[in-house]
Amino acid sequence: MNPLLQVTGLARAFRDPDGSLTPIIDIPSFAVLPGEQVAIRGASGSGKTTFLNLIAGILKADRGEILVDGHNLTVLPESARDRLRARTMGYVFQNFNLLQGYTALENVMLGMLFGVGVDAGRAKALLERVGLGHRLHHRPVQLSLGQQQRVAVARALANHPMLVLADEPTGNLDQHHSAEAIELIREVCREQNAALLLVSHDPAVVERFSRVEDLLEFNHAATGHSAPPAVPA
Amino acid sequence: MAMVLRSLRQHALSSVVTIISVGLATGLTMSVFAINHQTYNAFTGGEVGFDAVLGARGSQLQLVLNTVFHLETSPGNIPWSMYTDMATHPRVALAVPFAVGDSYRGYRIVGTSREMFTKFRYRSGQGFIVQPGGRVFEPDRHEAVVGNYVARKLGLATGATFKPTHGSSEGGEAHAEEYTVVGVMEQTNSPSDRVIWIPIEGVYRMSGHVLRGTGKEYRPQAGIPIPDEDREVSAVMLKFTTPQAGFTLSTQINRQGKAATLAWPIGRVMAELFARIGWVTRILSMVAYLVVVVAVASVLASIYNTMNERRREFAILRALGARRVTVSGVIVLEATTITALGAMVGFLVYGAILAAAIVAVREQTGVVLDAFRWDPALGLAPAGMIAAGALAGMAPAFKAYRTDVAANLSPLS
Repeated sequence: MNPLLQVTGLARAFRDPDGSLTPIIDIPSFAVLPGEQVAIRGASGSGKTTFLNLIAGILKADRGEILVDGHNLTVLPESARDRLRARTMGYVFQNFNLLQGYTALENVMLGMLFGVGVDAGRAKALLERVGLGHRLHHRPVQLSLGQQQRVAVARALANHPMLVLADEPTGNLDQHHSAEAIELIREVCREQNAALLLVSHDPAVVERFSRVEDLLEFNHAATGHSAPPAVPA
Repeated sequence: MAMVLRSLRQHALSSVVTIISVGLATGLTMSVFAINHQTYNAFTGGEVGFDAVLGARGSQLQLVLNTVFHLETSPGNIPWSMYTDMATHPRVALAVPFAVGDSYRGYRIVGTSREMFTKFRYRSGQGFIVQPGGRVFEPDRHEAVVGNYVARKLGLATGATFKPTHGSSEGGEAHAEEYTVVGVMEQTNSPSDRVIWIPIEGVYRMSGHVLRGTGKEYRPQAGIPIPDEDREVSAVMLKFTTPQAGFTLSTQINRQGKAATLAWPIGRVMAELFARIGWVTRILSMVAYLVVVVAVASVLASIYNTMNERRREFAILRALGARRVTVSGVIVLEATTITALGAMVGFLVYGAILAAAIVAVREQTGVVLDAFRWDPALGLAPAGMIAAGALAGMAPAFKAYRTDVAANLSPLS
């Protein structure tokens, strides 16, 4: 089976205030199969978010290759990366990143606006699936943190993504709700045939996955065995 | 568009203030240009029924203002013979004498002939009409026909009586003669609505009036006909048979003669007035432009001020797949929407200013501006404002364009 996501020789460095370059990501190889659910363990500051942003095409790699469904993100112009992200990926952020002026339903539909197109029926069905059928017209401030997180999950799945990226999705939840949330994300991704790449520093979260990767092991920038950084683009 | 409307609602106060300021600027700009054009057209291009005015040697403008618009004081009198010369001139279709100098409670009394009501047409085919129950004055009686506006303002109806006052303003000495209103004119929407018309003989015979047609004083006596050589008129209103007649008579009277002035054509004479006061229009235009600049700056400021709080919103939209141009396009659309809504408010402001201007111009001159007349400024001002608003949106749009998605989504981990 061909991998859905194939990362090869990926590197990204950031310029420090003193002008020097600090490598954050240096990953020789990493892959996720279609429908696979992978947890990446990593301490705070280990480059987890940067890695996900590179895969999402939000950040541009200094070097290397990111193949998503056969498309090499690293050679695509920004607008093409935006289109690819909207069509093939969903993103659940640590702080959910819901738009405050919009209702739960509108937040999900907004996710569709740049992807498959607005489908109010599907948006409603997704919210019902995550248990928020009675909170469709509530704004984020009127929802609990757990409910906000479920809206974020529904939004991430709005465009029938092949890959869902989740960045510390339970970082703002207590242990009980965290376990529920992870199970919900995994279930819904499974139902939607979407692969899941989740990063978390929480052992209770990552231990629920059959495949767990440690960023400290496969990211040479975190282990201190990184090659000299390339000049960022 | 839904995102734009949502943003306007989220920033309701600043949006409303900005829309109002744009509305005021648009309305003011439309008013300055449209009302100026309307006034110019009403005073220079509108039909007045006469082609020229013959009067005392002096300013043509004063002559026109005095006789056509019933403003200003009379520049003096000319002998009755000039009227009879014009009345019998083969190129003159109609000559009507005017004698002024009296008023009633601030409204001008004009002595004239019955031809003003029987032959004069103030607009094509439209003559003065006396309301039902009334009639035109008899030339040898103390009778008056009252303009529609005067009748309404002073409550003068058929059968009412009044004593004319000497001079053109209120507070003058009342004449002994008592006049009876025998008719009220239908509304003409012209300066004639502000006039009280009496027989010209009545002006001559008003107590205290002295005629100097021969150069010597002549005091009319009751029951004794006034010799023609002693009679005077303030002006003679003329309608020519052909436009060439105006040119010929103008040359004869203004260039070769020394006794009188022919104000011709009336539209050109009034245009000179507007040319003289053109600087007022220019200043008003500059004020309007400055207000527009301030309004456009307020559009820029109101959107720019929200940019910091909206960076995260833009970053989220970008993360959801929105392209940079989409996000910046939302900002330009927002600026355009604000100015478009402001432009709509501008029409209300324009309507209010126009209504006030119509009342003021009518009060002062009797000229009625057309509230529904289309003017290019009514299209250009809103369109220009919307374009300027869109342009003002470019700066914040550029800021949105440059939003660093990763930095504004969440802290790095």
